[in-house]
Amino acid sequence: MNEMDLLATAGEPIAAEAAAARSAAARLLEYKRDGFVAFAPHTTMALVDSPEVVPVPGAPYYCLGLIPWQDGHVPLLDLNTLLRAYPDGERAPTGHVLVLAWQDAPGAPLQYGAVCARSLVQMIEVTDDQACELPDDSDLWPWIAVSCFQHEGQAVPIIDTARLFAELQR
Amino acid sequence: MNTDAPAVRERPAGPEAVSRAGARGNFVVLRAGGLRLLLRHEDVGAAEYIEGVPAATAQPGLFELDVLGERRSIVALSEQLRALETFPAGRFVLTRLHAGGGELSFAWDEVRVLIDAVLEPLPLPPAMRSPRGPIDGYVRLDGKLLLCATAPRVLAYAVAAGE
Repeated sequence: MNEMDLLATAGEPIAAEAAAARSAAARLLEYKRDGFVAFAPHTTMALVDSPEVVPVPGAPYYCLGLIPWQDGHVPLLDLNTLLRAYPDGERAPTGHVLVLAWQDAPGAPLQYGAVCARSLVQMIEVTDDQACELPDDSDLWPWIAVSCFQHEGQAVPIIDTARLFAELQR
Repeated sequence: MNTDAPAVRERPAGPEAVSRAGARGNFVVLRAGGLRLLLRHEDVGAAEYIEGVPAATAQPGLFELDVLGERRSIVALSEQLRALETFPAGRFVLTRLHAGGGELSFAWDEVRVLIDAVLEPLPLPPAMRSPRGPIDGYVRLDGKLLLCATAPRVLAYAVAAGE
């Protein structure tokens, strides 16, 4: 299992974000073939290659299992399966997984979870004039996305990591 | 059967995880393929070895075998705790699960007893919990994850899955 520390590359874009009020950095993740979502760079911790996945019986169908990360384990979910509301015929890709962090409340300890990535994540700059409506292919978008932007002709929802994993807690 | 008694120290566990499997005591690890369940010793009956091939019955997922002169009904669970319709090669040990007097025996790839073990399970992350899920938490032991469960919850989940 290889791990790429994403925080090490996040400092410069965050500084750039402060300097240019109308643009911000985003981490782009391919969650299904040619389908992308974005995360705020400070929520993305690491890209892990081919982690060992331990399935957990009884877990929601979109949760693939637990993967090791740092000194513990974190849940791995497949966004594509979650958004489709049923399992895809194709096995969820686990060649790359993106580890995400969030806080349940200000000052609370960081929580961690991971999502499947079909390819390496990319860092891009997004400006306000790219804003657009959320896609209409899943009822879950309004629950897990805070906004959306156009990128290379596609609508790319920006995922709120805390909402994403809070949604799973229902 | 391995009867090592390791002492495992992990981070402090949440309240759900330690409800049954926490603290010090005797535990049993039941392995079905890559699935390793951790139950309290009192939840699991004595291990018995399978001599012969269990015969399929008219009920899918249920097998029968004579063990020490007694006709036994046997279930082999998958890694997802579903009853397998084909008896898997390599399942060579049987245990009963103590949960309401059920007469079913379960076939495992391995049964390991942990004597006087100190285990501190971690709670299952909220994203992985479900109301009828059989797993409470997990423990890392010898580089493997053991999933904490109880006999009643394993039985209830396996039976519900077969309905």
